[in-house]
Order: sequence, then C-alpha cells, then structure tokens
Amino acid sequence: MDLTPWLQSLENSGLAASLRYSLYLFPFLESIHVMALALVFGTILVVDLRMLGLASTHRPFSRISSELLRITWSAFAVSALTGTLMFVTNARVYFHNTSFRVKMLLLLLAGINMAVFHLTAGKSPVAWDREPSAPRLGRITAAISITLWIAIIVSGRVIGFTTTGAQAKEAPAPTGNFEDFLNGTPDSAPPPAAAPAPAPTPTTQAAAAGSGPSDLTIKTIMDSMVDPSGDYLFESVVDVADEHGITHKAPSTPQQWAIERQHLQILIDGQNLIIAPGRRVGNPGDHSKDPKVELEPAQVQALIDSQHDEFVVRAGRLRDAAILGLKAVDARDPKALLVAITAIDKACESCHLHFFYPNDKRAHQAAKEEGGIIE
Amino acid sequence: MNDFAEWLSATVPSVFLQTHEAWMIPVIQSLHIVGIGTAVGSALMITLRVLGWAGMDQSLLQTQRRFGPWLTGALYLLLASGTLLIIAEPVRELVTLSFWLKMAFVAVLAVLATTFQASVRKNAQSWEHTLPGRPSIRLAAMLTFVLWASIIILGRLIAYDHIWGHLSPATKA
Repeated sequence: MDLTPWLQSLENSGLAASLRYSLYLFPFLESIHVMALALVFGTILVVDLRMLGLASTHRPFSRISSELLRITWSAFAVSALTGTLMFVTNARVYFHNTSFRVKMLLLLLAGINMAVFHLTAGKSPVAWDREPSAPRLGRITAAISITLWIAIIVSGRVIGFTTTGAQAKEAPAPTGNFEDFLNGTPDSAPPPAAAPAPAPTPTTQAAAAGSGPSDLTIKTIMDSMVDPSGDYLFESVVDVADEHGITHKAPSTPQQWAIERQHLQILIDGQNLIIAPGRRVGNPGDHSKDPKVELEPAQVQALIDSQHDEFVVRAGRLRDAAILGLKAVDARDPKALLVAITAIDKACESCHLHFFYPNDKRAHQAAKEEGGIIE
Repeated sequence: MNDFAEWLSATVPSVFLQTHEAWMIPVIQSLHIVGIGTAVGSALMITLRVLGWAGMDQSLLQTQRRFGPWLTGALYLLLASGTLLIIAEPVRELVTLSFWLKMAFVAVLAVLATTFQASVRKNAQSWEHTLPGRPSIRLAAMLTFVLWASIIILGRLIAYDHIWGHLSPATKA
C-alpha cells in the first residue's frame, strides 16, 4: 500500500502548514515533547526499579504504581500529541526515516512488554506486593522496559540528526529536461526559448516516484545545483589581473563553450524547480547559516508564501538572464556572455535581497552602488 | 564569550568530538535526556511528597533518602554529558540566550534544592507534619517544579535560539 498521497495530504493540511511556517511552534512542540518524555521515563524508572528490587523495596508495589500511573499516562499522552504534530509537518520525510521507524517499533515493543507484564506478574500484584522485588517474569519485563525506553530516547534524538541533511541523499535526482540535457550533446540541445518546462507540482512529482522528489527543498536546489553552476559561470568569464598583466578569461574551446551551456541550463532548470508551487524553503531543523544577516528558512518561507507572484517574477529574471547566456554561447560571443552573467549575478542578488537577507543593510548599499535591482 | 567559544572549538577534545559528531553528539544528547528523565522523576517524587499528593506512607526524610541520591547521581550525569556537549559544539551552546537562561535557572534550582535538603535533615522531626500544610512551602515546591520544566524547555530551545530575536547573542556581531 502506498501511503504517499495520504502523507502528502497530512503535510498539505492547514495545521501542518501553520506549524511549518511559524518560527516558534515547532521549537515549542519539541520542548514540550522532551519535557513530557522525561516525565514518562522518570516515572517508569521509579516503578521498574521497584520491581527489580533496586529501590523503594519496603513500599508496596501497588501503591507506587497507582500513584504514578496517571502521571505516566498523562505525560505519554502529551508526548504522543506533540510527536504527532511534529510528524505532520514533514510526514513523508519522517515516514521514510529509519530512526523514526525504529522508534515506532520500539514503542510498539514497549506496549507489548507492558501487556506481557499485565497478563503475568501484574495480574496478581497482591501476591508479591510487599516482597522486595517482583517475580522473575516481572523483573524481566522491568529490565526490558528500562532498556526499551532508553533506546526510544536515543532513536528519537537520532531522528533530528538524520532528517535535515538527508534529503539530498534520499530524494531521487531531478528528472526532466535537466537530465535529458546532460545526456544529450550540447549542440543538439533544444533552443533556449523552448527550455523552460512546465513547473512540476508536488502532487505530480509524488505520484511519479515513491518518496517524492518534492522532498527537494529550495535550500537543497540552491546548494546542489544553482550555487555550484553560478560559481562556475562567474569564474569562467572574468578579467584576471596578475603578474602577466590583465587577461580576459573566457571560454574558447568547443568543450569550454559546451560546459558553459550546461551550467546555464542547470540555472534554468534549478529556477523551474524552485518556483514549483508547494516547494519548501527548508525542512524543520534547517537553520540559517548566519542568522546575523540571513533570515531563518521559516521566515523566508513566510515571505515567499505571502508574495509568491513577486517570487516568481524575481526568480524569472534568473531564467531570462540565463537564456540570454545560452544565446551568447550559441553565438560564441564572450562579450554578450559577460553581459548575461552580470545579469545573472544581479538577478540572484535582487531576489536574495528581497527574500533571503532583506535586513542586510550592507548588501542593499552594495547593490545600490553596483546598480542592482533593489526596489 | 564568542572568542572563548571559538578558542574552545579549536582545542583537541573539541576537535575530536567534532570529527566523531555523526554518532557522538546524538549519543551524548540521549544520555543527557536519560539524566533529565531520572532527575525530573526524582524531583517530582519529592515535590509530590512535600505537597502531600503522593508517597504519604513515607516520611519526608525517607522520601529524601530514596530519591535524593538518584537526583544527585542524575545531576552528575547531566553535568558530565552537558560539559561534553559544550566542548563538542561551543558556539552552538555558548552563544545563545537559551543556554545562559538555562544556566541561571539551574543555579537558582541548585540553591533551592540544597537549602531544602539541609532543612529536611535538620528539621526532620518538626517538619514531618507541619510542612505540607505551609502555603509558602507548597508554593516553593510548585515553583521548583516549574523551574525544572523551564530548564528542560530552555535546553531544547538552545537549538532554536532565533526565537528570541534580537535578544539572542547569535544575532549580534
């Protein structure tokens, strides 16, 4: 059974969206989750140690368990609720995460272990209520319980370390004209004007491949496609001043022109992926590398969601500039290529100034001085 | 503090932890949470006894003797694992408002807990029956538990210091 559509609809729910877009709700949920699970573990430990005969041995077991049971279950309910809310924010990623699955399995085992206790030693606690420890089977279930709950804590913590950086690894490579282009020879590539393909929507993507390439976030697309290709382009056409005097660096061999073309095409495809409706900036847990200047992913998300048309317009300038670059490549014109690449640089900066680091006064000033598009 | 954090992150133990961070940090953090569970469970039992809500078949002193050592032991585990986490990620920990608020609360809690322990030992006889009735003591017990909850929440918020906005040192140069 394929649960992807169902998980997707969880993620698309208004509740999940508002949790994702808020700067405060996810951290708040996670904090309450940790507090509740600390209480679950702490109270279960008291009961299990009593059964093992390691603590509170002179107190009747039934008294301890009846005092703590309500607290344990209330705290468990809070953990389950906060856990569920965290799950829906990114249901598909968590669902496919190994640590998450291990944790759910361990929780199931803890439930079975508890049932075994209640059907055996727990059935007649009166018989050993005042004994220093539970009967053998009771002691075994107590030891298993402590072990399982520690393992649940560990697997839960590991989820946070395997769901943020793992998207790039888990998500299948983007398909479509990007791959077609890389497989074909540069000269037989489609004419630039025809290059922009219809933007894939998350639903069609999810239907196309199990775990869904829409797990791909803007951050991942920027890091793995747009930034490296942009860097290559900016370095490829420059004036170098060194001990040999000033050299104009530009592509000259057919091979170099072909590589230039590939990177321009990657920018166009990256832009298409970025503006796809429903595309997310980052995953919960992703953070701004430099909060002094850059907004947090959730803040960028809120900005983009509130001005999606504006976002598409600004991202479109990148595509237009890259198409200009493709024309320059086809004409083997280094000067036109430099103009196009300068336009690419300004397009990046213009969109970043608006959505990525709007509070960075220095970048605004620099853009103004360089004649960038800032409005 | 920024400079100290930068310096610490270049030391040998920090570099060692950083190069093994893939599994070390989750494991140390998990130990830290196990310690929190043990400590908060023990603190809860003492609090409930002071409030007269549980463990009334035990004297205050008996309750203190049962859970005090577990609380202290868990605090040592928390101190050790917490120190390792600071060494592993000095900037992430030290350059946050959440961390320092948490430390301030821990300091207040330590003073409260030590005072309480000493008083229980000293006044064991007279407190046994009068204590749960005193509104000031009940309030203090509840406040202590609120302090525990705040410490746990702040601990998790270290990872999300941006929620403090401009109050967070991470947003300053």
